[in-house]
Amino acid sequence: MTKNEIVVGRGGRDYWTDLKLDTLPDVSREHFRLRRDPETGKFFLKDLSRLGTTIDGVAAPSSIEVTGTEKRDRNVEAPVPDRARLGLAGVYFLEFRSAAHG
Amino acid sequence: MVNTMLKYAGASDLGRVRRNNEDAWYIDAERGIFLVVDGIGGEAAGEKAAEIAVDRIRARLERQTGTVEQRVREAIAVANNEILRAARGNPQWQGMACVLTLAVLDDGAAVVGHVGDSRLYEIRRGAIRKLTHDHSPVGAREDAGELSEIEAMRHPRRNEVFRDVGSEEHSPDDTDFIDIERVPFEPDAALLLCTDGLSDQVTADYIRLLVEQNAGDPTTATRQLINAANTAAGKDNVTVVLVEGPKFAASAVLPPRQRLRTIGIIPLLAGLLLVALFVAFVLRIFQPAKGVVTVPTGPRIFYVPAFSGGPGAPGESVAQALIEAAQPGDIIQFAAGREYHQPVRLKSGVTFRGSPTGEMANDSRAILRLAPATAGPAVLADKVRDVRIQGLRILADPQAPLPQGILLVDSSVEIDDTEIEGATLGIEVRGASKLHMRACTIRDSLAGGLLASGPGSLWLSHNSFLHNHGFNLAARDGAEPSLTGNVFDKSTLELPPDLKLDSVREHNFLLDAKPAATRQGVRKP
Repeated sequence: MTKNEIVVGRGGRDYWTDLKLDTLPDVSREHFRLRRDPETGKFFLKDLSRLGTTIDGVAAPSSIEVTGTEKRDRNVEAPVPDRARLGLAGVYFLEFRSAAHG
Repeated sequence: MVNTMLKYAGASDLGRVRRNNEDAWYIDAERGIFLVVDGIGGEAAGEKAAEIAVDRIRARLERQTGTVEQRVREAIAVANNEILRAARGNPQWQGMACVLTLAVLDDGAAVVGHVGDSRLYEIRRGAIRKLTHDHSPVGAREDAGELSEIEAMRHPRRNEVFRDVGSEEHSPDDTDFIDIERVPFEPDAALLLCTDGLSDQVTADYIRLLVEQNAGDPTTATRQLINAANTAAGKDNVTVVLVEGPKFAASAVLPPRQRLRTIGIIPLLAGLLLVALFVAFVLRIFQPAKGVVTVPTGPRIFYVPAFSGGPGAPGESVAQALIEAAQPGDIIQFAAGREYHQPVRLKSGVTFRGSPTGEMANDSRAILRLAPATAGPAVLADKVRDVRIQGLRILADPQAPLPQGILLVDSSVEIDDTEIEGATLGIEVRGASKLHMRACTIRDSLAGGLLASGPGSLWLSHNSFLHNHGFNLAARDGAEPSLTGNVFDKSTLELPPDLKLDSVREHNFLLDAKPAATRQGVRKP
């Protein structure tokens, strides 16, 4: 990860994805955003998926709020430890490691 | 859902020369999305690029994930890569691209994403500000102050851009790609997005004038802006998107105070008493209060009462008393349709207004006609700066002769929507003056329409010079005129040696422009 925020998901025509996963449709096209706080160097995950994200097996809070047909981003993030196992919809797993701290 | 109070409109036009419209625009007021796109590419390719840009940006912004800044960046990057992909798959579309300016409203601000030479302007409290920087060599020189606005508008290389959407692969955060900025969007402001078809033809000040005059009616404003671009030349497609904050119309149009306008029938004594009270009130305002910090407020408006007592009526010196009391930023408002008989001496920073804004008809302007024995000029600017005159009608005739309608001496003055009729010289500009004149008419002058002598600059756009004896315009002894969209009934123009009549003709209307007739009256360099 070479910038302060990346988008992880299956991607699609109108989706920007920095890490594009070629996997089951259970994984959302824009599944989560991983942000590095430039001041502390700590990482935060914002779950934008339909079927959820886990951090070391614990479900991250969903940042999505659906009103009618509109999807809104509530801007809810969960801290990510320097080493963590990120689960996407329970079908795909990423090993996360912070280069600076982990 | 934030935006139910906004007024907005968008419009696009082919122009008068192009055969297809490669511009596009998009508004989603519900989500606060405002976009203009200018396609690049031969045949139908430019149109296709603009279409792809609108579709992809719309689709990305409908999904409200990530911060607004990220959404805007990603939307433009997605559009960029989609245009590139489509062009690679179809030889007809090879090399297509576009430039665009996108504003997304968010919590009292606008997040602006910008690539290329379309523009975003903010119009607020009588001023216009360009908030985007053109990604073009000419635009960069204009922003650096090396070229004036008019020079940039005329520059032969003004169409070159060094950034675009669609000619190479990009990601959202590329440093040499999208300019992104969060700017305040105040309730009393309007934002105007336009393609270069407008900004290459119509000056920012004239854009402001049209938007302010139609405050509250953005549909008419966009139509008039497009007409202005087409009248000036119409060489390019022109697209305008305008969004007004909920308080823009109220702050742009300040209604005249009716009570003071209809004073005529009240007995003179009562009238004088009123005036005395008014002046006392005005003077009281200016008593500096000790130990109190003055908080700057909006412009104050001083209404000059019109008297029906005829020339020399006792109330007339009130006008000069008000002018003396006015501070920079204030407005001296004359009553529309009424006559004043005393000369007006301009004061730095003060606006002199003779019509309610938004109206441009003869009978809605205040009339300045000096009493017979009064020495002219009707309006004098002597070493003043940042003065604006708007909506006055200055009249002279054999009974009330006038050496000059308006005389500028070493002054910087803006004149809008003003008519000067029958003076010896309509306007005379002396010394190192700077005159911005828009939408004015100078007619039936006895010796000449506008005479400038000395190292001053004249910025004349969309004025009419009609039936003037002598010359319509004379720029002598180093005076530099910039002329756009003006109408001259005769080519009686004395121009500086480096300004050729042909280049004037290209940007203005010379109604007698037949080859044989144009020579007459033109002083050869």
